[in-house]
Amino acid sequence: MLSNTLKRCLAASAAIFALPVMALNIFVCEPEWEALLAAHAPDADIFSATTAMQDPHYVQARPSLIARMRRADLAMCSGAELEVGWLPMLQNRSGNRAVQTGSETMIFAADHVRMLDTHDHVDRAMGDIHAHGNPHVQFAVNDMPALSRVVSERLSQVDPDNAHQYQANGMRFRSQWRRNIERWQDQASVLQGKKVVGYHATYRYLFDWLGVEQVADLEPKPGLPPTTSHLQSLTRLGKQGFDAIIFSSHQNQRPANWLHNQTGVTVVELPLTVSKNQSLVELYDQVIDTLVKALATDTDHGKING
Amino acid sequence: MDDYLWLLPAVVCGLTALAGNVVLGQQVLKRQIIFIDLAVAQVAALGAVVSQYWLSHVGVFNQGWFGEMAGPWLLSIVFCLFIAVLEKRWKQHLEALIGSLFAVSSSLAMILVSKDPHGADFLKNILNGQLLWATWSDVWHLGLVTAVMLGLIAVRPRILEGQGFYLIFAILMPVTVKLTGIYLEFALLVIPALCTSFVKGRSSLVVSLLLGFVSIISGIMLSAWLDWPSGSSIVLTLFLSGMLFMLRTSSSHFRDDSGDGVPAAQAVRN
Repeated sequence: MLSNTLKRCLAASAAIFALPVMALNIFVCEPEWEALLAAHAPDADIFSATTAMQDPHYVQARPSLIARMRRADLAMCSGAELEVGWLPMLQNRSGNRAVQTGSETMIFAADHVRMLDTHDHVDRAMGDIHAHGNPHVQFAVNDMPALSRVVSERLSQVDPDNAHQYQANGMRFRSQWRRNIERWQDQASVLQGKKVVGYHATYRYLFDWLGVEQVADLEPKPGLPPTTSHLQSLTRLGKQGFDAIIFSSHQNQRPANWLHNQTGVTVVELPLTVSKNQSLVELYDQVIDTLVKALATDTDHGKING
Repeated sequence: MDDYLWLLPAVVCGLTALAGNVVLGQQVLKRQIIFIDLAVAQVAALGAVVSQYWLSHVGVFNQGWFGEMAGPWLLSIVFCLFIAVLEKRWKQHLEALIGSLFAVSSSLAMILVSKDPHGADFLKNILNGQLLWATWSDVWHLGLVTAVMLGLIAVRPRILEGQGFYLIFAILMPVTVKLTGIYLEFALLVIPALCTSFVKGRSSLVVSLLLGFVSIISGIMLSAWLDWPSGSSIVLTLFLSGMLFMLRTSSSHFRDDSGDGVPAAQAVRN
């Protein structure tokens, strides 16, 4: 009886791990790269290690992570040490040459983005600072075409039979993206010069592009949870000191609400990245819409969800 | 089958941890110091924090596996010696004291990592363990320490009865808990020993090992099937199979006999 159960369990797990023969297997660390790759290789079987509601700094080891990493033909992560707490172990345990750092099929977005906030010297006392710069590059809007080119090229190397498709999809993605950038810039021009209090440097690239200034952070140091004394010091900025308090959906909303109650300034919740089956364009639309709605009218101070 | 071979280091680590725990678990129950496991595991974790933040600046301690284990071992040995001394003088309140020290060492660890951005992750790792990340070099280290300790017990079985038990516990526990995490470690130590407590003599060891073996294999399979964290899955299967075993043996024991606890042991042996 026991051996029968064993067999059934094995068969069930085999069914779960079984791979579709033709599709390209792709492993990504964050959902934004799933969206980018899906735009270039719509038929590929893409697995994302984290969801939009998860902090990519930390991931609990699950069997599927190793199983999918083992048979990935190509992998893409943000890099710049964002995943340093778990990706190296995963690469090590996978025993898969395709996903080792240095391999052409292991793409780090940070290698192809003009990085902000790089540091020559980093120590623990500074908090969660990455020497290679801010790793939250999903909003590095002007570098997305460069990433699209890299993705098209690497996909073509792995799967030469469909190279023309990857190239064509890449060209379509880039031309649409350029048109969207103009539209977004028009729409977001009202955001120029606005001051916000953020939660972590998650939107560093977005704010840099839109001319929004993050005057303070709810975190006392990058990566450290907000403390009472630090929040207290932020109330001294006063109601006139900033236009909004911004946090992302995966973060604790209490610190933002606390500051809102003390100062009356609008709280805005933005998505960290794409949600299920959302495209990058839709994500940018959503984020800019939310920000414009919250900051441009600025009449009633309430809570606005992205 | 090749698809599952990567689970092998995790399975071997689990089984090795089981072997060490089953032997110590019976003593822990007999001495009624169940929380010593949680306390030592937490103290070892505190030692790991000390290693990471302070000892790693000192040349000898900043490299290799033994350097990493210096902090955990140092603190767990000091802690166990302290408990061993107190056992003689303050026996009736020992368990309460151990429980309090568990709370204190947890809180100390929390304070120490509060300034570290990855502190919360570190604490979570201590609880859940990293069985799935286990490599063959982890298997080798754990196997070596477990073999030495079990060898010592095999040569001098009486060491378990005296204060020497605490030394063995202090050396073995930090190595195990680093891989299994606090929850799985506690389950491996207590559940097999508890469920076989009415089985007499050597066969209780065999039954414990068997119970643990089935639970570890089925736990890892459950974790692979449903994509659950492995350590937590094994805790569940261990508890379930332990309960099932107790139910079966006690029900067959009610059928066979009016029952005073002993026939159940015979039912197992038969």
